[in-house]
Amino acid sequence: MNCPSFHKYIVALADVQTEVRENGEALEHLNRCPSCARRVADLTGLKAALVRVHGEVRAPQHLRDRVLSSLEATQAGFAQAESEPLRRKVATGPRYRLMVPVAIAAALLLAVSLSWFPGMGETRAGTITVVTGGVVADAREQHRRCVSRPGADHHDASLPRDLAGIAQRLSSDLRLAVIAPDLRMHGFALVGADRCGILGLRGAHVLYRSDSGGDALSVFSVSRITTLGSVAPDSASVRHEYYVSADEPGEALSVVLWHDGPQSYVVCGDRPTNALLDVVDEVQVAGVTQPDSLTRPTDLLALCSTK
Amino acid sequence: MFLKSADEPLRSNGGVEQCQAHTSIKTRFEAVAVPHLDAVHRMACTLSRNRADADDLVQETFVRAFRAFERFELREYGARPWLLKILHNVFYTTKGRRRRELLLEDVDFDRFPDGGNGNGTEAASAETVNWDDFDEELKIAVSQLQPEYRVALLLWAIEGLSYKEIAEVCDCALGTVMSRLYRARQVLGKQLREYAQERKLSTERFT
Repeated sequence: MNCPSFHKYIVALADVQTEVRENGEALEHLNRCPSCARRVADLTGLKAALVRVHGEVRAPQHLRDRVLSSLEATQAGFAQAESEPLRRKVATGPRYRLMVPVAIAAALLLAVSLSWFPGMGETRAGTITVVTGGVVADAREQHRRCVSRPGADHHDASLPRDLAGIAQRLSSDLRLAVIAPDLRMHGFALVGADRCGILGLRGAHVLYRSDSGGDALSVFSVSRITTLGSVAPDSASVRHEYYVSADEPGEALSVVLWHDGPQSYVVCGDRPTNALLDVVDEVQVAGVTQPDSLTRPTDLLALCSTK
Repeated sequence: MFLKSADEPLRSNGGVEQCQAHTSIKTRFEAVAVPHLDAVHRMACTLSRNRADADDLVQETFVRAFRAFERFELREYGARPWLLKILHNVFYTTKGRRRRELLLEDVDFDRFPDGGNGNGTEAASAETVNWDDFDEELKIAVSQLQPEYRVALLLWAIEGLSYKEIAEVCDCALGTVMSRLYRARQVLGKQLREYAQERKLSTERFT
């Protein structure tokens, strides 16, 4: 075996891959070629040095606690969302009626206690808070009103018909960072967009409908809803405070809301809360179009666009 | 250990069994995933520029992993590459970066099976460095590597992932992993040799 032939074994030997160690020809070359032996030793030395320098890093205890608490909160969200479909199918018994407010109370308690964890300031809460009242009701009302709009397909004729164009145009017109994500992977296609806010706030409303035609889903981009949340409007906190609707008798629509600097975003749809949270992940990844005059220290995300 | 994806049917006689099912899933998830928190944290620190962002990245990774856990099957790669892949995806998608940033130096290493630079000459890494003498400098040099090289290097050296696992985590070709590791080692070696020369260390320390 010559040196060029041996080269492909160099990294494998440094990685102590046994099947290579058993290659007699490679080992024979290693024993009689100082240059190749030096290269194997070099790689082995580098690996050992990297382990020495970086290998001792451990997750701090506050991070461990934070992760475990997040899992608790996520599980509470699952429990609350899962209870809703059952409510439609079976008569509510006394045990079931007890579980729902307990789940809500657990989520609220967790949301409060998370803010006490060391190392987690107000800007890094990572909570899911169950809310009732005006914001949720208004989001549902606006969603229903637009879905049931007679004749029209909920689209301002002056707007483009593609998602990227919609986001660009509405962001510019409304001076907001409007999102119009591609939700086809969740089975939702664009119906249209209009300048509808909630709670009297200026905003954009992008409406989607499921492939089967049954479910509708709304994504609202509005100026910041100040009645919810403890995070300062100018903070960089994103995706760390969610506000979800409570389970209510006879109510099919779930609502998820979060803040991002001077904006708030609301997703409303006929799905359990945990399913809506998955859609929210996609919505957040999709990106935000900034109007020209707004500046943010963070990078602008790419627009999603129809393909 | 092999786990099949959870498939807990919903019971129709109230919410108690659902709560038990969720508790069971969470318990299993904690047993499978939380032991790899240190590895996930290390990689988050590798990718992020500050500790707060790294912590957020770790939290987001575990929440997403938990949500996807019912679809997870422990196959040949195990839970750690799965978690690191989620973290990698979260980092690059939430930062608005394309998942496959083409580096100018990113070439398919399969085209250069001799381990060199493709033109048949002896690779520069034949000049070795005494790695034991440069801990602090090595740490700085690693931090200055391009993120893709840094990730590949640390996944190889610290987390002990195979090239195939690294390719899975980073969502790139096997040849790309080999190329990135090769380049990372080249860059590190060059930087530390320059450092040694600047400090006027004895040339006899270099073999």
